[in-house]
Amino acid sequence: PPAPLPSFPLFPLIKRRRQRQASMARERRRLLALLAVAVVAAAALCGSVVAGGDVVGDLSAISVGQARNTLVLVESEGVLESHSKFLEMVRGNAAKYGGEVDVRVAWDGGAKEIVLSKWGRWVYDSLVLLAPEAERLGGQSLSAAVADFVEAGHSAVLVGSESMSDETRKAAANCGVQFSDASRVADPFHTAAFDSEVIEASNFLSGAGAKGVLSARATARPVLWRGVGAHVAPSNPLAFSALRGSATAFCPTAKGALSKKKSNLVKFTGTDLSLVSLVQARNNARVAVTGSMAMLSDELFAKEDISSNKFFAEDVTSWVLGYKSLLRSHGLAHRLTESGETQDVYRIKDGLSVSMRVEEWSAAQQRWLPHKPAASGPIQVELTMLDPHLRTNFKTDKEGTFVADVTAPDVYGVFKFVVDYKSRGYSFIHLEEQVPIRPFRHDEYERFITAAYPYYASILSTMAAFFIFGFAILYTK
Amino acid sequence: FFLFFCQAVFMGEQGTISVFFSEYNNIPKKLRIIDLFLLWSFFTGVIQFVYVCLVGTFPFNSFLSGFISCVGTFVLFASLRLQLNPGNSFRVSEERAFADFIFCNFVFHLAVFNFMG
Repeated sequence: PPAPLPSFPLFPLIKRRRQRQASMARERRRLLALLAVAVVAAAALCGSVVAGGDVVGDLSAISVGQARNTLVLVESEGVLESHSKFLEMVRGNAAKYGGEVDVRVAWDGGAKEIVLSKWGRWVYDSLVLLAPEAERLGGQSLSAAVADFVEAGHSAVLVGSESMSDETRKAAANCGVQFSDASRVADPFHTAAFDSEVIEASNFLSGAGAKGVLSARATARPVLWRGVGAHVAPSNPLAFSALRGSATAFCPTAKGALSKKKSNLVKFTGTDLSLVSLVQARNNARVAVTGSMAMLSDELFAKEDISSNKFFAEDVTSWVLGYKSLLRSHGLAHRLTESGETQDVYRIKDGLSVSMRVEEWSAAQQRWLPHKPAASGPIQVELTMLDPHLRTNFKTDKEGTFVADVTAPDVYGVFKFVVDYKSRGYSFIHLEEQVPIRPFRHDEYERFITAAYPYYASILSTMAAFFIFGFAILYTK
Repeated sequence: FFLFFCQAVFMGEQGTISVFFSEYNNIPKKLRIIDLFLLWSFFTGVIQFVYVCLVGTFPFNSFLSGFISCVGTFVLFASLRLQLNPGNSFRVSEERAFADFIFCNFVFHLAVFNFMG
């Protein structure tokens, strides 16, 4: 507390100084009180946000790629009628497998009222864009909005058309699918009978990756297609083509169909031409890109006797929206085989067991079932230190857990068990678990080595001989 | 010259080899005993070397200790023989030579036995 004022008035300056100090002290106290109130308020706010966050926490069953809230953005009201069967299929699947579908109309290229994310949380978790001419979405340009959306792990279906905007092209290019500058694809040998613009495409995705994406009924008949072709670089490990052009397909431009000088056009010719492209990003978000609105239209869906448009569209949308071929993995654990205990450090030549659970989402049963690798190929585990020292396939045991028994190699160091599973059509799995391996302790080596018995014999015999000869030398004259 | 050399060494009563054989029994008994041990350790070493050439060097430390035990005791016995030889110019007493010999062998065998592994 400030000293009491001196009684005599000969120090007015001192008096004023003391008054000023008192008032400053009062100010300081007021400010401190304000600060305390502010801190308490902030703490209360944070507490409420954290508590409120638990509402999303109970959706632990949802993983990347599962559609629960789908936004379908259509160009205009006319699309609602011309693609009614497709929309009905999307709605029907969502109703069957759980989820909501929100169909909104984008007008005059704006779509301003539609927000994809609010207050840092995504409102929708999958997107079907039937608006090739849209340029903006949710306050951002379409390509930026789609890029953010996919980077956050959500799936999207991008549909282009002959008159698509540059933003749609850019959005597709961000996903690794390059649309051609030409406005159509021509295939003189595979044109539909009823319309010369429409081509019949039957060059479906085949081989190991097809089973996860397309079913047999989708590939039974050709798909009727009309629109803009695209190209997926063959060196792209994440993007592949579900429907390619036949060998006789090409994209006619004003400059010609195939120019020897400009190799740019060669990409959009023949089997390099991709009519429906699929991309699975490294965060397991799935994107389908096609340049044909007509493929999903009612008039081509109706021609069921000569085409399988309906089933193909259903398969592709199911794959993208995460209703099938969706894997989740967890619990990469390791232990000694005999004792079953997990240690921090293992020893060389120990028998180790590594196990992992991989589950596949079953939309029909709405739960995660143990994954059967028969369809997608065996899952491998590696024991790696800079290079893999061991690589083996997992075996499934009766509960569906994947188990592999390995012997630690004769090299010591800091290894890691790596599961890097990239099967086309199925989610990517990448798990790592660090495992140090130590050399033998000095008392863990082999004790009496059979190959060394001659050496043991020679040493012992030399010692005995020295003993005997020592006596002999001593006691001889 | 080479022919002359061979004749001098191998032939006749004055050749080196025949002189060697006739004079050998005249050297002291002690030295002959030491010579016997030298032969023993030499052949043991040769056997081990042939063995490792055939079988390979898997427990290399065992091979080394076995081989070195032969070579080392050869060296120690040879040095004892040198010290005990009455014809040599330097002289330590026989007891001193023998005591050194025992001590060196003790240390040597200790090391070899531990290195065997």
